[in-house]
Amino acid sequence: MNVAPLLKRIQGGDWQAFEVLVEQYSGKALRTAYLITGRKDIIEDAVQEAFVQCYRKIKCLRDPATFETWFYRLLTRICWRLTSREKGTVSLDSLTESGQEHALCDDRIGDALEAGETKRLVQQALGRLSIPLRTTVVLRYYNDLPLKEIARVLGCREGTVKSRLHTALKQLADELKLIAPELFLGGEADAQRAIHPGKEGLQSEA
Amino acid sequence: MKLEEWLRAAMAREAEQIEAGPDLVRKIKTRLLTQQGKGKAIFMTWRKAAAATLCGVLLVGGLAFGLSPQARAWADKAVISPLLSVAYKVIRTEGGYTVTKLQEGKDLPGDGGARFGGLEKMEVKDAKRCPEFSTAAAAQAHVGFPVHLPTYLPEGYKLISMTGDRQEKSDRGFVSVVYGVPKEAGKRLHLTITNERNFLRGGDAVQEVKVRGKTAYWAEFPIMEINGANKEPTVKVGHTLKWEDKGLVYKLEDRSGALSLEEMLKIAASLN
Repeated sequence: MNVAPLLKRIQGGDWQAFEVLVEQYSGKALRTAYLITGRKDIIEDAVQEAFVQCYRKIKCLRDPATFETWFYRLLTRICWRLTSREKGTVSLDSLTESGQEHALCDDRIGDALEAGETKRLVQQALGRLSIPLRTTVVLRYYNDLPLKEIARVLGCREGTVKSRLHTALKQLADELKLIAPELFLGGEADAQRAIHPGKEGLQSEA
Repeated sequence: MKLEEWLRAAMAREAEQIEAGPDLVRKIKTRLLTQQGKGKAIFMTWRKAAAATLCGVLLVGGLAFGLSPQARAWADKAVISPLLSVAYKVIRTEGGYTVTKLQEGKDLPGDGGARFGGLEKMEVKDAKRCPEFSTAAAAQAHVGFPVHLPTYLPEGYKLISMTGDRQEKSDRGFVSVVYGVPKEAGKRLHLTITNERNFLRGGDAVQEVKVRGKTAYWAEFPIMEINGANKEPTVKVGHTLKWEDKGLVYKLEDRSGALSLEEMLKIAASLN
């Protein structure tokens, strides 16, 4: 989608245009923040702050084509800051990882088994990754950003992004082999492909 | 299934439950306005910080001026005196100092009239004047030692003034007698009599002479005169004759330079 005209109006001080931008990007921004932080209680705060900073700094944005990279850069920084600030607290979402979800909300037991299982696996596997690795994975496999864009968002080199993705996928594969071995039932070859799944893809993109 | 594909699908499914609330835009707007308010608060904080800094500077300055005499001396010279000179004018008069103050609107009634329009005489400090005597006996009674005046004076010279004083705590005193030609301000002869021996310094004498059998010192000294602002100063030669007799030091000083040594000796010898 071409956001250049919208951005130009916002840079001219058009609040209505900013509202349109918020409506367009808020959903994706919230979901990205959720996957990065793994917590629902702080993502709205993070997204609000990201849009506030966006509104304030948007006049500094010269190339509208780089808006998404620029905005995700703001968002990830805020998510990291909030996560590090809230490190000492325990979120309700994190409790689900330790099997206390039934004690807290029994009505979830009735959820679809597959959905519940996927949720548990994603939370558990992503939750074990460090914040930079998790952010890299989210930007790559949820936001579908190319490596170059991810490098710009994270403020690092492409090589670092590749390295992080490789490490993250290896950790995820090791984790999932323990908690969901059924994902690797296709034999040793499939398991190896699962552990190093993106190597060919990463090489071809680079 | 490749891990990448599973991850894409799993994250999409995990995140699909998250939806933006309907009032997100309103909350962002509120947050923006709140943060702008905080910006103002920060500005206020800066103003408070500036005020605190000013107070600190005044406090430190006060301590410095309070504790350091050098700082006070500097402030007196560089700040206070120039400021006071705006409000006060010290007019030197012949007899002493007249301190006047520029007073706001003294002359005109109503709204105060012309600012700084009037001069109010605040205080008159007469320089401590020495008592003046008309006779030698009166002077002698005051200073406590014999006062002998010349019986011989050059032609035209008359007594103009006779003053003298003595210190309360010591017996030291002096009598200063001025003779001169009334219509010629330049012709002045000063006779000083004192019982203070320090007054006698023979080192600068150019000639030793005798006055009634006593050693006297005769010397010349320069007198610079400036007549008019644009004229070169002129230097005249004055004469002085000093001697001691019976514990008193006598000094005859001719500031006109008109009297010769012989004339001066004659005057000195006539003291009675």
